[in-house]
Amino acid sequence: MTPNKLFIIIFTLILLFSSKGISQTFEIQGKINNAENKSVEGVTVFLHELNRWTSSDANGNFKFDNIKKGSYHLHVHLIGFKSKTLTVKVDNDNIDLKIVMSSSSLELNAVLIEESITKSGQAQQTQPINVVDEEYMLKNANSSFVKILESIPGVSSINTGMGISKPVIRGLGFNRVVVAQNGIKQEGQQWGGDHGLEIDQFNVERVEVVKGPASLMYGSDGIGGVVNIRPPAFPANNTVVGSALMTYRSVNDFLGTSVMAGINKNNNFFRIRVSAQDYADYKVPASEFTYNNYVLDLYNNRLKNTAGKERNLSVMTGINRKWGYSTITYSYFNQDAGFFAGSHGTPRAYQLFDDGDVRNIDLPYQSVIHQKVVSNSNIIIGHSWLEIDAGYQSNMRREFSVPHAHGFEPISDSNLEHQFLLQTYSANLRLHSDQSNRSTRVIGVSGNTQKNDIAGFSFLIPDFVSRNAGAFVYQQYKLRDSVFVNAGIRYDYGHVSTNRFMMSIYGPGNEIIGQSQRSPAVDKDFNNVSGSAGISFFPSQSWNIKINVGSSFRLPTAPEMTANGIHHGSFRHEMGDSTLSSERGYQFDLTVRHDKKNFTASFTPFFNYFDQFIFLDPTNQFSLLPDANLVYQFNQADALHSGAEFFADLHLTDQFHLSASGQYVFALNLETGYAMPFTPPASGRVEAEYEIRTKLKYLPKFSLGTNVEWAATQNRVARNEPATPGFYLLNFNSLLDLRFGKQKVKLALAIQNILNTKYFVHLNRYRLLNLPEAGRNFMVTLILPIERKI
Amino acid sequence: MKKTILILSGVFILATTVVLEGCKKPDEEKPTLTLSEPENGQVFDSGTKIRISGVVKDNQELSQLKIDIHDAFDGHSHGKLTSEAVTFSIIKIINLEGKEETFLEEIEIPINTLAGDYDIIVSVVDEAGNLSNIEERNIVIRNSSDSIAPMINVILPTADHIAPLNGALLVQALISDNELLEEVKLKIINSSGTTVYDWEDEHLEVESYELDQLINLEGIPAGSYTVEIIAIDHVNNETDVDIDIVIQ
Repeated sequence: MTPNKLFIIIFTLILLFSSKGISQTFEIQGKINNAENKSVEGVTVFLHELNRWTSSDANGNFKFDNIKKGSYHLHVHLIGFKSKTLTVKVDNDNIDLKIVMSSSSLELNAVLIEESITKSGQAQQTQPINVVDEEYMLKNANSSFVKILESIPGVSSINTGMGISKPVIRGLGFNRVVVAQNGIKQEGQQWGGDHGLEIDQFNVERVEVVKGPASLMYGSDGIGGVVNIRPPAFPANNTVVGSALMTYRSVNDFLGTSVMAGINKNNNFFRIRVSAQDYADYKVPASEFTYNNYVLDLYNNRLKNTAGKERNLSVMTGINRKWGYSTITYSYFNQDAGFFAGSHGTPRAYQLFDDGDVRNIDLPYQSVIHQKVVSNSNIIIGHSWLEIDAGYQSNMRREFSVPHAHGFEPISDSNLEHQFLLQTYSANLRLHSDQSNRSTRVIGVSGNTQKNDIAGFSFLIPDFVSRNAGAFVYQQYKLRDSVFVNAGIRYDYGHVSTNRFMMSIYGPGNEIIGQSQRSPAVDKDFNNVSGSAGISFFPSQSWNIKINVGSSFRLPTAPEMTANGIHHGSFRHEMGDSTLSSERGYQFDLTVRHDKKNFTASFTPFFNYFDQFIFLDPTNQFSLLPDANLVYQFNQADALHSGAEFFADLHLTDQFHLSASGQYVFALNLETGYAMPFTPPASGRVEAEYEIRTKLKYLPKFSLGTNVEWAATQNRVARNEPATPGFYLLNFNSLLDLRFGKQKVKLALAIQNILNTKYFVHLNRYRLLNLPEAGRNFMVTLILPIERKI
Repeated sequence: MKKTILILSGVFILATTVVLEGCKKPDEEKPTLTLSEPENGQVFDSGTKIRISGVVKDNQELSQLKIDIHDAFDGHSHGKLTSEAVTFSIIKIINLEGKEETFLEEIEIPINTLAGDYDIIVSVVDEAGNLSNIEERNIVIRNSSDSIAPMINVILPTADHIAPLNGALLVQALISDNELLEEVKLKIINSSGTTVYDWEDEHLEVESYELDQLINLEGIPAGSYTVEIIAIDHVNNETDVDIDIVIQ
């Protein structure tokens, strides 16, 4: 099926459902009380299937009207209370609910889990899932969206300097982590070390991070986990919303601004966000660095040419009716980011001389333009509902650098070294149905097709085409009130074909004297069956145990099969292997969680065994290409991958709390006994936070927090990978809720690396150059939200 | 409850131990490289040979030695030089055997090589893929058909010249070469090493050149500066002249 046909079918389906005849409608209303039987005002009630929300009035009452027959999920939450998820079945009558909220001082009870296949609450989940909301992201602001997620135990990131970063979950990154936005998997150049996630950090309001395999939902690549970026909530009916954000960060003179405006009129809505950011070369607590016994200067204590800029746009429009809702979102992400002046080839003193401008983006640099059109629909059919996601995305990554002479080859007159244009069409269909009060089933199909086109004077990977299709069935069953089990099975088909790439050989007079094959033609099909099963049970009120076992897989990517060229900054000549087979993981996860009114703690060990894990392994051969050292080849080996995360939060008073978290990953190549490359060190974080509610008119609430980040020395490294010493960092953050008349203003202040500690991060690609991380950083963010009834 | 946790933790620990025990120790030792020739700063004429020698050792088995010679010119694009002379670069890979080998490689520098600074980088990899320390030498190559650098006679400014703030500075010089001039550059550098003015004239192909530049100093703050005049001939022989001035 061509992508165009797919779109036509989907839109026909949407139209079909939206033009259905008049049918009877009902109301869902309810009253919310606390444990002392007093009504609670201001509770957010979210009607999941229709993406509608309201809040309870002074008497604790709420109401949704114009509801047709069907099964619905209500998510109920308010800070200070335990969140709840209720299943509501509308048959022939209006629904009247009595909801009792029990109080809790814990912040982390946000319960709404979209990521789970059945859209149920934390209790039913058998895998560890962390939810991060806008306020959390504001408090933990960092150089990129992915860096913010690093405060979640089990999440780290692979960085190239400050602006470029990609997520790593439990030590698995690159193509082993799925990033999905609006239900569509983000498709960029995940295989590449200097690929960064193409997401506007100011356009993220809610993120869910699944740790562990998620192949069931996403097929190949969901082997390590999922970062699911949820679309922002629609404005409430008949309101206009807006917000303006401004931010400054001292370490790289970062200036960012983002403006949003939205309207919902009669359940037709529109929303636009425009963001821009500009940053200079970042400052480090060092005036020189040592590379290969040479001491090289870092003028002005900055890493020359690490400046960058971003220009982003997102537009969403949609309708919300009793049959469900449908939206279309267009987004545009445009980033230019410089690479450290000495990072292509061996760094030389002359490359690092001050050019008198810390904001310019000189060669080498990369430019990324990521555009997406995504359609999301949710349609209620009887007691079932159908989710349809369809998307087209175009990812263009270009790398610019100075062409150089090599052999008799003529020198390129363009600075475009690499261009990768990856276009992806994808679609998912999922039908949710409640078999009974106890049992929920989800049946889904998904597919995608992508095409990669290359250009530029250097060669790394060839043109390729890949296709995937999969189908799954998943069942969740409630055995008792305190015991939930689930199981699912999925079948996938995948196809990859690449074009053979020939290089011209030049004679002494720059004339072509022959051709040689740089990369072979590959045409391969893959079939996979994966599955998982889990149980979540409550031995007592305050204890929850979750166990999940699964088998997941990943297809070798086209770059893993056919790459043959220099990956800059890594000094590696990367070479694919066309004989690679799928990698398969057998995964076991355990969560032990304890919840009391003022205390929560969880411990989540995991144990994975990988059959034919694909990784980049040094060969014993040197590369003949300039700026490269050894040839690294994609290789397969059985591997063990184990570790754990923990988290604890203690509220000493309602206002003061302490929390601690930690993570450890142990990755072992069972054939060589080495660690797998890019394994994060053991790390942890302790935090104290004071949240104060005042009687002041202008400052009703503010928080003060301080935390210490710690990372152990990483000595368990892959062959030729440098060990990295550990570090401690001291940070501070504060969030002020200000009020000027009716106007709310949020002001976030933070200082990262207060002591200006010089340290190294194992997963930063500049670690290879022995370049230290950023120094002390003052950050200020101001947000002005606006909301008006119309 | 506690029992379940105990049993599950037991399973983890046991599984990890079994796997660790089953693993053989890999060859983690890097080969070593000692380079005895050439020396840092050694000068070679084009048309002669560079001798590169040393000893390599490994605990198990050596695989390859790599010699990489390339120019260390400071960034200006020598692909565009109009002369016949070209930059010299070579990557030579030598297969090795056994645990220890003494090597001697003689690499000929083509006669038409551009003069200037060059780097020699040598490294070794063993059979298991462990990479050695990297040895680097900086050498100078002279072009044997023309080893005479251009001449620069500065007329203006004179040493310690005082230029008016936001005014103008006149730079005049007579530049000549025994063969052909390729490029003339003019820079003003502040006391912290930052270039505040940059000008160049390329692809000259003349024997003599009259530099006559009136520089607008607008926006350049008061202070001590160095005016640098650089002349490069067609085989990359270079002459630099620095004149200290003050802007106030």
